[in-house]
Amino acid sequence: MSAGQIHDLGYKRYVGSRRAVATRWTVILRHQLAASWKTWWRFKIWLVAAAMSTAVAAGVLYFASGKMIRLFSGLRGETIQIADGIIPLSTQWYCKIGFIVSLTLGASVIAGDVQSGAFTFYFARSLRPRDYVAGKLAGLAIAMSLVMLVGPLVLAGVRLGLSDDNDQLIALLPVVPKALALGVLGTLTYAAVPLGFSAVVASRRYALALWAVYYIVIGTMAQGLGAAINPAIGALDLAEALGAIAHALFGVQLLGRRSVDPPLAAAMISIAVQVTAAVGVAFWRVRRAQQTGVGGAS
Amino acid sequence: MTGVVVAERCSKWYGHVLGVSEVTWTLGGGIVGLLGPNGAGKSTLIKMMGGLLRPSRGTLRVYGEDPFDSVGVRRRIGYAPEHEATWDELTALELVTAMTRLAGVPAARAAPAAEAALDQMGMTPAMHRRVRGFSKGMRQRTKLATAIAHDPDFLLLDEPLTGVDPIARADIIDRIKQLGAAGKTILVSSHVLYEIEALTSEIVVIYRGQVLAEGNVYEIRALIDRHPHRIRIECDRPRAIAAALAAEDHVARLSFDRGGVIVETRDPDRCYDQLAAAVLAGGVVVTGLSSPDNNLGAVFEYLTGDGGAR
Amino acid sequence: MTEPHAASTVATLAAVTLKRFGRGKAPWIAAGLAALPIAYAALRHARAAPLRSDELFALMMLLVAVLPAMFVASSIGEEIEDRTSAYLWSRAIPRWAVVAGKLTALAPAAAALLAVSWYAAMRVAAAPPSLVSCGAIAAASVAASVVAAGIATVVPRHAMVLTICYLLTDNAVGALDFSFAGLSITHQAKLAAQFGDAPSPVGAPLLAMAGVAAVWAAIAVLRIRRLEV
Repeated sequence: MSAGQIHDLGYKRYVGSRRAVATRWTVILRHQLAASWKTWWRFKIWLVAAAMSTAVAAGVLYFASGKMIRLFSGLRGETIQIADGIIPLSTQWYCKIGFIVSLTLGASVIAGDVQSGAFTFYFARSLRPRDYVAGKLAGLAIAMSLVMLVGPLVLAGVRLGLSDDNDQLIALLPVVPKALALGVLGTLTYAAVPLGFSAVVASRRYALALWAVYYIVIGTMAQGLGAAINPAIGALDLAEALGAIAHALFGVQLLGRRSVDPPLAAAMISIAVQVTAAVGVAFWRVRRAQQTGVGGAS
Repeated sequence: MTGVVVAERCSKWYGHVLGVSEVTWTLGGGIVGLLGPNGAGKSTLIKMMGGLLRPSRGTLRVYGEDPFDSVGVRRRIGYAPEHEATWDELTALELVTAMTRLAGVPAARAAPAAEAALDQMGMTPAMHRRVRGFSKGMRQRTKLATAIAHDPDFLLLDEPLTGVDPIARADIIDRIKQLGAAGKTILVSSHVLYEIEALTSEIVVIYRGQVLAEGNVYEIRALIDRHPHRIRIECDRPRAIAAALAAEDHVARLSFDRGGVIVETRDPDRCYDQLAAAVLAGGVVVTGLSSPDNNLGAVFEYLTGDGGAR
Repeated sequence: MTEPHAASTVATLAAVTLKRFGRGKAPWIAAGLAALPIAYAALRHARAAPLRSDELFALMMLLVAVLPAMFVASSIGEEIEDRTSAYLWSRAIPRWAVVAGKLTALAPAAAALLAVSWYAAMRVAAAPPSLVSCGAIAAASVAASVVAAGIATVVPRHAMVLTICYLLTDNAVGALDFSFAGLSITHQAKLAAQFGDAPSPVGAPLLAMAGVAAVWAAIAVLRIRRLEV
């Protein structure tokens, strides 16, 4: 029997520099963004809807900024101009679009990876669960910011642009950080909370359904309980909580009994708790899946 | 033209991607191997025959009808797809029974037919288990059972041996041969040459969406005259053999390897005659005689002109 | 052996769909969702904050936007996306039977669940609802299921999401006071359940819902006839 031989086929092990493990999340982020941009139905069409909403709101702002608005009032009940109410009013539209984007992008992202067996690929490499979660969250946040952040900032810019003089411009400057804060909160909310739901079940279909029911049905129930029992309960509804923060930031309130704003503190706590819980659930689930070797497609 | 399948200038494209191009071909009967590398168009062609795709141009008829539109002709077809996805929540028996009923077998006979098909595929011990827990080999057998349970005349098996272990592979190959012997027309697609070789010598070679060759593999080989046939002779005096054949006009090349000489000839019949004479005249002791390229791998390589053969 | 009768094909597909449905998590999740209005009504009742029937009806219509999407849209959409439909398209069955089979199994299940949920929630909140209102909820659910089937054949990959979006838009349109509201399943369900501004005959709203469903059923049939795997 002849002796064995190993033939050098020219393959050389990569010996160049490697990026630090702590940068792996950027790979996940880029992949998430690329996946989001793939088809029209997933993200682009909703981005167009957000752009159109912004255009309409900007148009209203431009053509009717001086008119009085009856939907809102100031905090002391005084009537206010459309220009002062348009950004908090537009929040509800961005929330609707943000919810749809969260359905198409966020609510099934981890469930989809578990179902397809992608975890097997991810965790066979030097990728830590926190890199995975951070990358997914950052990718979703960047996509969501195009809906939740850019719109309010554009409207703030238009608002500033409609100033009559420099004094008014300077007086209106706080609109920009307010719009930024609102946009950042909205981005974080609609990126993180659906991500948490996508980690709860290992099925795309049920993750989507649970998030939709939580947002729509349980949110409506919270609104109803808030109106009937205690306004703070209404803060459980994410759109209601963001609306309350928007109203408080811009010093407006809704007229009539169509809705009762949750208190600002309740709204802030509700969003903080839900975002934190969602990220925590996502991290725990991914770590558990990594440790038990779950995720191989059958 | 008559045949089980008649394709007339049949083309299929997906957007800008060409699946199948201008295929004109007739499938007669027996077991035929559809051979081609990944992306050649095998599955596209099979899906058109199974009624899952419609040709973008040209026609493809199965038993004289368009399988996409004709419900009746699909009753005579049994199709086992390439992909693994199936109704995992059901047991093997439930799955095959449902498929059998949908193929036209009355309810009272569907379950016995399904049981018989699963038995034929060696799945009786597992037929009450859910498909979710099956191995790849068990899934492949269950898929084959769904294809045969309604006793179709024409079987379309798209890569039936993918992911199957060697023992299961040999078993499934035997069972396919039995089905062919029972008179069914079977088209088996694969990109693994020895699987096709084990099943049949009748092949259709498809490459980049076009049919390159069809027929018996040895006849096809004989037609490939741009590639001389290689004959390897293992003997005690290879140079004597080489000297005897070197001057012949049909000999393209002679080379030596350990213990033997390889003759490349354009006329293998003449070569064998002269070789026998040279051996006898020279008293050469021949210990081995083989034709390294008289096989499907070489035929495929010569036809496609690349290293796609395995 | 002859081709299977269409009714037998639909029945076989419906039976298989129900069997698969029953073996997954879907029944538990669906039961949990259906319990939400009951829990809500109980909570309001316990806190002496009475729940009006039209409020509860509005909540039920939100569930109508989600449950048929979860049942029907994802069932048909996943069948096409996962290519398990390859087994079905190669069988001797008319393609419309696949949609019909799934609807036959899942639409009544969703309708029954929602009708029972409405009845139980109303019993807790106020008084047992009329059979007419239960029928209206069930009819709305069936119409929503057919819409879901139609959308699933057009955009299988995002069937569930787009169905929810469509039905939420339908919900919003139904709340508006202009002529397009007549196209809304929510609006017609409200009229049929006698939650409109004035008592109205039940037949016309049911017919309107059937009309909307018929349009989407036609889309589903036309689309699935041409679908390639």
